[in-house]
Amino acid sequence: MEAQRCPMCGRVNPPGLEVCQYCQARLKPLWVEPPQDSSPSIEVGSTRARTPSASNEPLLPDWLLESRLDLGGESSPRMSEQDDSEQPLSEEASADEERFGGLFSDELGETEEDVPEWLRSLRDESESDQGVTATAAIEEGSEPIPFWLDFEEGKAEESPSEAPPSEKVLPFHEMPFEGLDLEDESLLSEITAEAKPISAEEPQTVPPFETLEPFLLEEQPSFPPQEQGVPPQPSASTLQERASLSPEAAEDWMSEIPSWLDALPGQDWEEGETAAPETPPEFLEGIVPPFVETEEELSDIEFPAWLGQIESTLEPQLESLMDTLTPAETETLLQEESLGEISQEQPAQSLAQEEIPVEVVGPLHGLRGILPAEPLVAEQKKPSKALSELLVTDKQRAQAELFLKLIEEEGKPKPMPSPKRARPHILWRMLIFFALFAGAILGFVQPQFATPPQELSVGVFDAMQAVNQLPAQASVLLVVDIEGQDFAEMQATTAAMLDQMMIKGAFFVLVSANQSGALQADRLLREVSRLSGHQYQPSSGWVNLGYLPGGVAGMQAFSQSLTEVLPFTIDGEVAWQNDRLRNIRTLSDFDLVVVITEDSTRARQWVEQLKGHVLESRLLFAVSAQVEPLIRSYYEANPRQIQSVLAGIRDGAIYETQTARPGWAMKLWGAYTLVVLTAIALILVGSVFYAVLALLNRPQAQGEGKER
Amino acid sequence: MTLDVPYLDLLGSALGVLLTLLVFSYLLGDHFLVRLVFYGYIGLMAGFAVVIAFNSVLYPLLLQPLIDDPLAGWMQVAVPLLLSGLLCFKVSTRLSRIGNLSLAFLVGVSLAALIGGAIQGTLMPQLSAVISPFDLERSSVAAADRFSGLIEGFLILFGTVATLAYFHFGARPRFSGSARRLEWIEALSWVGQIFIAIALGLIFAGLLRAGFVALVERVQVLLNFVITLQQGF
Repeated sequence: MEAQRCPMCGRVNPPGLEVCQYCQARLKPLWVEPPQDSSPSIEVGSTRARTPSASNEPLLPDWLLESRLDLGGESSPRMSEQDDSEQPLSEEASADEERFGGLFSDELGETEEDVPEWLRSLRDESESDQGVTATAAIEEGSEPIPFWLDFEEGKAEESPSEAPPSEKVLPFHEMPFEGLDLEDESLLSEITAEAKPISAEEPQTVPPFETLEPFLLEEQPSFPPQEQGVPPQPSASTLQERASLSPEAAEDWMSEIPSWLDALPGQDWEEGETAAPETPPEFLEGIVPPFVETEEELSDIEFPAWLGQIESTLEPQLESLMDTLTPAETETLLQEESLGEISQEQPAQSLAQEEIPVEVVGPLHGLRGILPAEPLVAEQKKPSKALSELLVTDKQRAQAELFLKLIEEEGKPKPMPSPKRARPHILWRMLIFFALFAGAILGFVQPQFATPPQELSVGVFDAMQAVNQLPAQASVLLVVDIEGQDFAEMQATTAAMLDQMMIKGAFFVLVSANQSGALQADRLLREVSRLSGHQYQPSSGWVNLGYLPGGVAGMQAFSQSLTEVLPFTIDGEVAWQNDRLRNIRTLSDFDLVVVITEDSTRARQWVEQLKGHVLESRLLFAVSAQVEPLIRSYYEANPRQIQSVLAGIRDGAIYETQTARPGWAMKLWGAYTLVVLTAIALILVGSVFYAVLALLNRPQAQGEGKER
Repeated sequence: MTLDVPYLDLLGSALGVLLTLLVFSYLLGDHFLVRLVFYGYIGLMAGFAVVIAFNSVLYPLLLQPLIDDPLAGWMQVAVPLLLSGLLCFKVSTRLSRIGNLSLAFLVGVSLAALIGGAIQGTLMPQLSAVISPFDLERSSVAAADRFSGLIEGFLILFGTVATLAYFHFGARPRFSGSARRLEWIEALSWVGQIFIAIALGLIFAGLLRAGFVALVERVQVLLNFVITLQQGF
């Protein structure tokens, strides 16, 4: 067994279930057609109604079962008669099939599933209608027909195609076409195109009573008002039976109330009793005229005076007009009037009836309007092709196009705005450079413009005192941590001090904590020796221990055991076997330790690592001017951590001035002084210029701020 | 062919002048010649550092002991060589964890030396220097200058506290969601900014002075070169 899909929710259910496990809808119909009845194709003029047996429909009332059983007994002659009536039609149909290639034939292999839903419902209704009309046609010659039925018959015979089935039956129900725009012309044209073959074929087989509804063939029973909401629609067999009965029997049949109907509430009214006429409430009396049904009641109504005047003026005109007509014209007008009344009532009535579906299976077979939603929901198996197509309105299409346009514009590469780079103020640069350069040139050409520094600072004094206290042939440790770009300043700072040491015959031990410091130390001593006129040479005047690796850890290790950390000179010789260094084993054995650096961090590290290993009275620092603010706190602290600080070219020039031995510092001092003055002037001029510029632009900036 | 020393000095001076002028040409903007000088200087310093490291570290501390006495040398350099070898694994991202042992040893020793030196060499002496002006009995200042020393001590203490208050970033949250320091800390930090500005101004002035000395020295080199050329030709 295959899994079955729920006709209500569309979900797949396991085989064997009768009720959907998701929505509790019935999966199998209560009544299933026998296999032999499902094979024949739908034939024109035949009904698909099946005659249920009493065994499989135990709930049917007795009167309905009897009527259906009676109808089953008469079905065979009806069908034979129907076959005879269809014989010539089948010949014409075969000719048409040959002409159209069997396009409109039911034998093209068209299965039940290939038929659209609306077409299937259309066929079902047409079958039921044709069944009704066929039964009426059987009884055409035997029973007297009412006058209005006679008129209808003649109308059907005269113009069978005036009301084709395609116009009466609305294929569009609510559920299958929900969401569709029924006003769409393309969709309507497509639907009408599908419906055309039927409408073109059916007029040939429509019986005379095809256009009549079943309720027109029966007399209106006098049901109580509360029963009119659910009127029992008679089936075709019932109608056929009623038509075959005499008027007396029909009255008996109508007067016979079934037992199940008798048990309904509200059935205790007397036989022949009619419902009381509706009367308006008391407050509407005199305002709203009562409902008029007969001419007698019409004559009792008092019309207003103005209406009577109109009537009095129109009646003579109408009478004169009637006198001018011939009898034939009068008869024609009467016929047209009667036809117009019927044709005005028929479309609305037939439309309302056609919209109500007729049950074709189950115990309610043949009844109309009992379960109006069943054919719309339960029989929906195959959605129409129109449902799969996307219906887009013009507004939605415009919005979609706008959205696509936005996406395209976002995907397009946009040129990046070039960042505004600050233009190098080349003019200002050149102006400042040439001003400083001119000051330097002027300082070298005219050194008398700059007076040498005369005042003795505390740091220079302490340094001079420490150097002066050096013994002859003293051993001095020079820690030189300088880079190449600061060599000139450090040379100017330390030249006078080194000159004094050389005068005393000091022996230098050079070490550096940076990689280029060893060479700078060697260069420094060479330059000082050359400028001061000394004959200091390596190994005889100094020993260069080279580079001290390890950073702070190397400094600490050097402070603790210098001979083990740096046993060799930069030339690869054993350092501590020199005659001048035989007595040197620790830092405290040196007569003086001088740290020469332009790096504040390195200066602080040397102070920290040398503390405790060198006496403060033997520790000097010669630093760059930029390091002075940081290293001076160690010098000016109480107690001092270092003996003295020489900072910058100024202290070097003071030292040279105090020793009366002008050296490298004094050579640069004149130019240096003018350059500093020029720099001060430029800073002041530039500050004033930008201050004035800011004051001038202030109102404009305030205006822009207010605008924002 | 040999060149006399004066010619070599002149050639060296000419090269120095040329490089100086190229550096000065940076005033016109960054260009190829300036970059050539900068890159040449950086490359020269890097090569020089390698030579210095080999001559000052590798050869005397690693190779020389092995050459002089291989057995004793191996005993001496085994541990440093092992730790140095482990550092080579830092090149590989997968095996870099092996080198963490040597790196941890280096960082630990360096930090120990740095922190210990900072506490003993800077923090404690500087704290003592700040407090000492208020110890009138042990102060080395003369009795006549003790009052001025006391004022100086207050000034130093106030400047130190104000400067440290500027680096106090603790704040309490407010109802508005913002955080703001206490009012008195805010005021103290504002005073501390003045001290910091003065100190930074001094450092910047010293930097300018160092730069001016370098400029003056380069100008002197140019003048000497010109004078030498005038005298020589």
